[in-house]
Amino acid sequence: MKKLKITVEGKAYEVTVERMDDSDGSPASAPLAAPAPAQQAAPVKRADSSPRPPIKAGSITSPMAGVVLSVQVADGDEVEQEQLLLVLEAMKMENQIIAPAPSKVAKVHVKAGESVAEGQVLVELE
Amino acid sequence: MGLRRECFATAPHSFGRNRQKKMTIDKTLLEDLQKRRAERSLGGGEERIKKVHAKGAMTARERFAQLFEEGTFQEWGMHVEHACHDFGMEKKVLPGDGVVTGVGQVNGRSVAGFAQDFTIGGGALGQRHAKKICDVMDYAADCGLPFVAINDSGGARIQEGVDALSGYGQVFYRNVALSGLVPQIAVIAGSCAGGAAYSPALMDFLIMTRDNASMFICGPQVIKAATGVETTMEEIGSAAANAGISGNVHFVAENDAHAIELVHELLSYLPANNLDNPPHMPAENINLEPDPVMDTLVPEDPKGMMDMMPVIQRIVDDGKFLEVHQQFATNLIVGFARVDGIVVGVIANQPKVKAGTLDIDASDKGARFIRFCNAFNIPLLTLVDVPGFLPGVQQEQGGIIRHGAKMLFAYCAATVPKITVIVRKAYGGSYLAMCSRDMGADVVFAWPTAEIAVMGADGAANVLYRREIEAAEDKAAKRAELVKEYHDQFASPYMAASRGMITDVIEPSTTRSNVSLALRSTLMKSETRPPKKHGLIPL
Repeated sequence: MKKLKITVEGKAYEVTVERMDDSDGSPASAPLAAPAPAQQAAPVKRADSSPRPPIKAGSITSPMAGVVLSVQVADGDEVEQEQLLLVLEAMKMENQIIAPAPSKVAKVHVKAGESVAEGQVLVELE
Repeated sequence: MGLRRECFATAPHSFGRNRQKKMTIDKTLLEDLQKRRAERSLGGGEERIKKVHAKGAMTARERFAQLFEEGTFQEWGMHVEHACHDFGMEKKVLPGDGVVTGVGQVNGRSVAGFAQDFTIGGGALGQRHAKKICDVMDYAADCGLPFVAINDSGGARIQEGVDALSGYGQVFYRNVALSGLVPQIAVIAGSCAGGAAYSPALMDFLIMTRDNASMFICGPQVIKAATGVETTMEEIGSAAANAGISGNVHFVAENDAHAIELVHELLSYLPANNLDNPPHMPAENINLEPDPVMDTLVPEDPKGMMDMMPVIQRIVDDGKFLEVHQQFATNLIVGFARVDGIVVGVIANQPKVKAGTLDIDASDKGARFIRFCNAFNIPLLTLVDVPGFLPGVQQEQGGIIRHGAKMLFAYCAATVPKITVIVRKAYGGSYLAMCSRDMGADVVFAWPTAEIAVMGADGAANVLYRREIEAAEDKAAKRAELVKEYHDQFASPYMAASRGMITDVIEPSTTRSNVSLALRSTLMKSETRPPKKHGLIPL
């Protein structure tokens, strides 16, 4: 446990910091109550935003730029593993986009005839 | 070991000045040796061994016991002590300085290696630890033995300072000296962080265990401190991340025993060194039976999805294929197999993923594998269904030109037998990059379904018939008609075949026997090129 003095916009705050056990992400013990002003300073700005787009778990993205030929599922559908979700025409091929695991279709983001870019979210599964 | 001790005890020592004396070795000396050996074999002690077992892992010695045939392991430097006299280290005993090194037999062949012992000071690398590794590496180089490195270490022994650092440098130097001389296989069975990760990175194949291992240069805490970005070990240093995202690792093992199994399997395809032939086991009779199932593997619609894996499995013996880099750049398949007993390295497009295009990662993966095979005399079998290089801003900005060039470079520079089968699409530069005749392929077979052309019919029609399409009343219909015309005329193997770019167009059902016969006739291939230091592969 460490006591630190942090200055935000000219105001000094005293905070107590405890190192968390990073193996499971949970703190080694219950977090200590910080003095009231410190809470205002809580949202720490990230020095640099990550270059990766925030891809949610279960998002099926387009492996390459192409045109959606047909969509085989609708919002709310239950799908099995390896079930065909949609067909993407790209690089002289009708590429089958399949479900990686049994899941439920949360939202279909594209429709037949639509052009999509590489990495664009096609379908969200949950 | 037992044999040897008996010899010592009973050999008639009748030479030297004391001929008249009865020369039976003093029993206490043998007992002392046995005691020392037993103590040293315990590594960091029973408590720590229990902890290793509780994690579901093996100790260094248990890993070696699994790797080498029973009783064949000759240990080097068991009695070595560490060389640190600072920070109270002089009072500490670190048996063998935290690493087991030596030579043993794997499948009747000698293999050298080291296994870091995590129970001894966390397997940390000190000066003597490094020296032991270097000694056995020098031996592997001199004697032409494959080298296996089992990594499980906390990193440099900080107390030894620059001596430890220098130790890493000396290991790296030898990794490079051994590169292309003997196969080098690294197993990441525990922690392998920071500079330590560069020794396996300099080796040919990396096998990582799924649960107990991590490999990274800067961990999540350092990344957070330096960049503010929060990440997890799972995202950057796990087996899944190293095998699937960065491609640093070639195989993921379920546990230590599986990792050793993979080493055995890999070694079963590799020669001991670059002057040796791979362990071919030529079948007495070449199987000439056609395989009618092969005629059914290409979908009728040329745009239809196709899986290349069954094609590979039907060509190779018993469908046995050791896939390398299974989780990385899956639009290209690479791996080892045998065809009527002849060892081959297979490189194949996988149209199921990204339409089988070549992208940056696939090019790196392919080129690396081709160069390994060439260095160790393993013939190359290339199966082609490639529509092109992957289009995209990321690809262009990421340097697909210099990465794709690696594929071309690797194939052109390879002097081992090169046999190519064009299954379906083979377009433009990517056709060349998949070992066309022009890249020095010795034999090129094409299936009747092959489409060998400079570009796809759509693109070609747009360029060739732009005026006609624009002049037409129904532009779309005219365009479709001309695309079909171009496709029918040019998207076949016969344009290329008529120009002598194809050895033969074959029925898919005869692929196995044709490949097998070609492998037999190219087995004695020798190609000499003017000597030079090395070519300059566009890295």
